[in-house]
Amino acid sequence: MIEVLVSMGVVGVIGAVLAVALELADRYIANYGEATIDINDGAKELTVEGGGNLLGALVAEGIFVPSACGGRGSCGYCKCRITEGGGPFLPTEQSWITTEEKSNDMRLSCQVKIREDMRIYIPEELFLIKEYQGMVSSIRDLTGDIKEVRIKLVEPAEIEFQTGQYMQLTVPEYGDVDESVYRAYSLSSPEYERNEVEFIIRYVPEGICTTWVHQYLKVGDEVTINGPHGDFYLRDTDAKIIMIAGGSGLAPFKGMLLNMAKQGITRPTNFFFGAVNQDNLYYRDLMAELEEKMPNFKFIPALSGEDNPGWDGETGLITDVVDRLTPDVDNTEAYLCGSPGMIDACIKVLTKKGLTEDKIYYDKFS
Amino acid sequence: MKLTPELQKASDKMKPGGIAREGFFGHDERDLPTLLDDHHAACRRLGVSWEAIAKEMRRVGRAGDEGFGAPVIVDDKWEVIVDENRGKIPCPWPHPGVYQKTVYTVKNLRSGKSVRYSELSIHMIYAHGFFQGAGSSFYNDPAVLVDVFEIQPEE
Repeated sequence: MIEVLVSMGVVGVIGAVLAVALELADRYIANYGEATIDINDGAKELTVEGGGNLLGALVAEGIFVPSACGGRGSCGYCKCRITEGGGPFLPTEQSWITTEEKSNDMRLSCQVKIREDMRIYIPEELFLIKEYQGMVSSIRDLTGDIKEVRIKLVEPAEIEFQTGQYMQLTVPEYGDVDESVYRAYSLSSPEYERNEVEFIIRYVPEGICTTWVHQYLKVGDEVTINGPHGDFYLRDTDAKIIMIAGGSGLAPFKGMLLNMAKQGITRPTNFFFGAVNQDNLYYRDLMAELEEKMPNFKFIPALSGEDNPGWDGETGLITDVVDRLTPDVDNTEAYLCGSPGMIDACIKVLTKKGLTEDKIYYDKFS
Repeated sequence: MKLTPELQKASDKMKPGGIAREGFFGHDERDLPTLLDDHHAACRRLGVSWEAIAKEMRRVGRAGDEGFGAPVIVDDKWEVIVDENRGKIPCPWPHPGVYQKTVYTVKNLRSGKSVRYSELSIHMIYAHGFFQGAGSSFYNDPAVLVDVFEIQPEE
């Protein structure tokens, strides 16, 4: 019995040593030379050094394919279509690529190694995403755990985006964090402000980016951001608008409302904002100013906590308040930003009232 | 437990600044295999599997989802506050999957004792029997979890 166990152990150790040796050899000895990446049938052609992963090569060339995990293969966001040169489909891609996607040559770009010339396809809008160098121009506390951060753009000095989209903030190495990462945040500034962008960032316990923003970032610091990303923006129709948010989910709506005020858009708009208590409410003065400027706009904060002395506004869960104060959903669009639980519950309330899902746009905290 | 290459990779990612700013070991000086051995032994002494503990953490925690951050009373036994944060975090073990940065605070109304844990904590306890190192943000001793969730020993 002991001999069998010893044999198994020896075989296991030899296997592990060989695996490590192969990995080291591939990393430090193998020379793949240069490879050409043809993107979208010649729309762009890159010549890169082989051996690295496709996601890293694209980002290095200024093509910002979305990724939430920094290339660890654990978020599944960096999918792209590879019709030539992608090599065999890997077990690490299995969980993220459906059978249908696999038959359409979809791959996880962070897992695909560049070993030869490749032909790939990515959404055209990724070409519009740029990297910006900026400088923090102001930081202010909105609540105990939410900060407003404004960044003046330096190079390029101007940005074009649709209000409601998001950007990715690059977090440099700091403290024990020895690897740069990036995280996505909604822009809270309106699209007419082209030299400066603003974010509303809530502290997340143990969060690498939010800890950096809340405890390390200072006015005057240089920062790197890329974007714009996403399709959460106000549709150009005459429909009534329902906005629903909680916490830092207010961010895109601040920009949208400032934009509406500037453009004189008078669509009837109810903005429901859910919070537990009065300490979690912010921008109340700004919302009051916007209500004065826009007669068809109403800000409806609602508190769900029981202990709110002096509060004479709406109370209860935001879903109940939306249900109670929305008599009909005829010619209506809904825009939602917040936690997945809140968004899912609000979608149920709105669809029950008859609003079809194609009129509900949302940005989940995911 | 032996420090396999898989555990070594997980251990590296658990260090401060890996995938969480303060890491998963807290001030605990035990290495990952020792922590796992100790956590598994603690569960055996309590007569409860770590899967059963994680299932109750998930069931009670998720029952608090409907409060959107406000306290919710669950089964007349627990007060639950759920804080859903932006972003997802991967498990340190090398397998696919990311977990919403949701934080649950559960207070036993009878004893007044409370625990705080994340969606990732639930996964790491359920799938790996790992309760994190003492002093880390979401460390909970198995005995405290069994007490707060009033989990009875298995037959």
